[in-house]
Amino acid sequence: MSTMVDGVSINQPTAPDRGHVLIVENDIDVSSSLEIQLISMGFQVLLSHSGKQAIALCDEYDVDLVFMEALLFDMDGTDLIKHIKQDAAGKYKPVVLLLRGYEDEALLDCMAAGSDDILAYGFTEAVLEACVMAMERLRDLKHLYKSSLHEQVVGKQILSAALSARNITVDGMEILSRSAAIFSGDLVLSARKPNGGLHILLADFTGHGLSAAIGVLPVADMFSVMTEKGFEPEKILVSINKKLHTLLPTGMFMAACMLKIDSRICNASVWNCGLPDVYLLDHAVGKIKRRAVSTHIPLGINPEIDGKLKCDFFDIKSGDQLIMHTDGLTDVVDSVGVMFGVSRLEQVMEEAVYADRVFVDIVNEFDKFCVHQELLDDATLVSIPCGINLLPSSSGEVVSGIQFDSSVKAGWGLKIELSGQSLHFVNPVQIILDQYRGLGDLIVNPEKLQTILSELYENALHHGMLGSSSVCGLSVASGSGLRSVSNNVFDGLHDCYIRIEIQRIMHQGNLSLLVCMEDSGSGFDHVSLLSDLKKKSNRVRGAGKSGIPMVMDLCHSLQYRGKGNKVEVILDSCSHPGAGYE
Amino acid sequence: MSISQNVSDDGKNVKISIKGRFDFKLSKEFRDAYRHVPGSDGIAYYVDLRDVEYMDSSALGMLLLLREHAKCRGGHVIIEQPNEPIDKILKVANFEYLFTIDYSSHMYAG
Repeated sequence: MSTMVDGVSINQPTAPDRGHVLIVENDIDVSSSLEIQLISMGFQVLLSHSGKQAIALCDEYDVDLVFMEALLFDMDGTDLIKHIKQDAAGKYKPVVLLLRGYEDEALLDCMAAGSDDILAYGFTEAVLEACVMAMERLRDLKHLYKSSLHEQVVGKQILSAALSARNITVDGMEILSRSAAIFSGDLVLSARKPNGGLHILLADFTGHGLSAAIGVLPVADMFSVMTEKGFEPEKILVSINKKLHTLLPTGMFMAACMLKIDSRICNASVWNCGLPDVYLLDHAVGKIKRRAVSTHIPLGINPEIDGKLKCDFFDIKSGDQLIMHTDGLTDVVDSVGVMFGVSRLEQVMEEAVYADRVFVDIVNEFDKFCVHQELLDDATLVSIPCGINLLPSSSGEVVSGIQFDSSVKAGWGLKIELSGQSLHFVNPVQIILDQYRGLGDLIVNPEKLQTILSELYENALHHGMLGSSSVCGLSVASGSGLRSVSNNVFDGLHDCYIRIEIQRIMHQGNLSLLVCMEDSGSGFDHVSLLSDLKKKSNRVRGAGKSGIPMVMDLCHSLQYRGKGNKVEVILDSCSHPGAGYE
Repeated sequence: MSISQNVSDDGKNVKISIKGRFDFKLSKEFRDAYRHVPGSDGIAYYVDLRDVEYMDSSALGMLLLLREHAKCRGGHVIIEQPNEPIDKILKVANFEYLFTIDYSSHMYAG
């Protein structure tokens, strides 16, 4: 039976619906015989005699399969094929060429343009049915492939979002990441410790693609959570190893390298478990200054890490570069089977004219080397310039008010900076204390905090900025700030500043408060002060002390930075009576 | 064939020799080389790497699978004669902690 829909004859099949088939054939005798056969197979048939009509039908109907002549009278067959295939953005439409035997030249063009099979005239009904079955199978496979590809793309987006939300930005750090499949089994993670130290992890899972990427999320989770809680790299690596051992099947593992960088004390520690050498490049001479070789088996193989994890210490100078890579970078092979290789990598690094060009030079060389080559493994290169830019970005900002730090869960920090005449009018200690009380998260007793802030503020002001040498003698524990200081002292303070910051942190697994105070003064000889205090501390303890010694009695640790114009104090949430000299 | 296998008369020694690239493409072939060895416990598996040109992390994984297979049957694995680039790969992974690596050119009995 047959009905008219929008002026086109659509033949209703009696067999189960196999969708729409489009026949593009100028010879009516041929097309109608094909039409009858296809209807009996369960298709709805769309008939077209020309290329143009076929395009119109394609646009109007949801076509599932196409039979067409290779030679059309009104257009190039390849154009029609391209249109059909292009149209199939969401759907695969197989195209079968109907051959009379004299289209050899057009045949190859049409196949190149995307047609899927050929059928020579004179075919039996069984051959037609077989051809249709093959085309349906091909279509189903293509759909399956497409949906699994789509799933992977979505999965990859979720994974990337989850990873980038965890990673912190490190100024100047550059990463080259080339993956062999949609998913990458290579991983670069970064996180900051509560004290500002930086942890960076480069990892390479066995193989590549989805199976290699399975372990990425739990590793990223453990790395960032443990770093933010203040755990040291050894502990983090031991925990990750244990987790991966239970998670990964035998034969899969994770080669990893962990960096701990504290640019304030100018060193980096490297733990290398199965990755290629980590390089420290000297800024001054552009040479490889140090390298950290792998000292452990990769993670996830043994249930426990035997003994203590070995680590390499690098003394770093401003301008030095740390370079890490996975073996996918050096193991890439060019078209004639030559490997990129470690010696080529090292040569590029040593020949770089400027240290800050090293990364770009390596990437250029790598891209030049493997142009048009398909990667067999994931390749990652990480370059970390060492210098003051690795410090947390807080210094130098002029911020007042509450700042919630998103990198530490449920964390907060308060910062205030005073400069010039505002030093005269404002008591920052009181402002910080008021906001601290307002937060309702009293990690330490407010009175205790007030005592400490007042002492530090007095010292910063008198010693640091007004040039008094009596560091230990001052004591204004009541926190009334600077009313006792005569007004004319503040004249000529235009370029001076004081920054105070308190921050909720995890320190050695304890909830703590970090108090930082920095002034624009020239600092003082804090080394001899602390060693003097150390000697005295056994004799005088408890009541009757004032100034810095008293602060030390109240806090977990006290540390002077730089030339002594910056001091950091850590206060534990649990009452901690001991003074720590660092 | 890039993998050849040889079992000693007493069935106690299995020698697996690999040629060319030892990578993920050899997974099945390598597994078949030891999985279907009939017979007793306590087998020593010798993996000859002298003719291997390249080895990826999947190959290291395959060695770990063999190690587990051997361990479960009271046997052990000896890696034989890795050439210089292959030895470098084994060293980076510190596989000397997991396997016996034999650099001498002695042949097993049988």
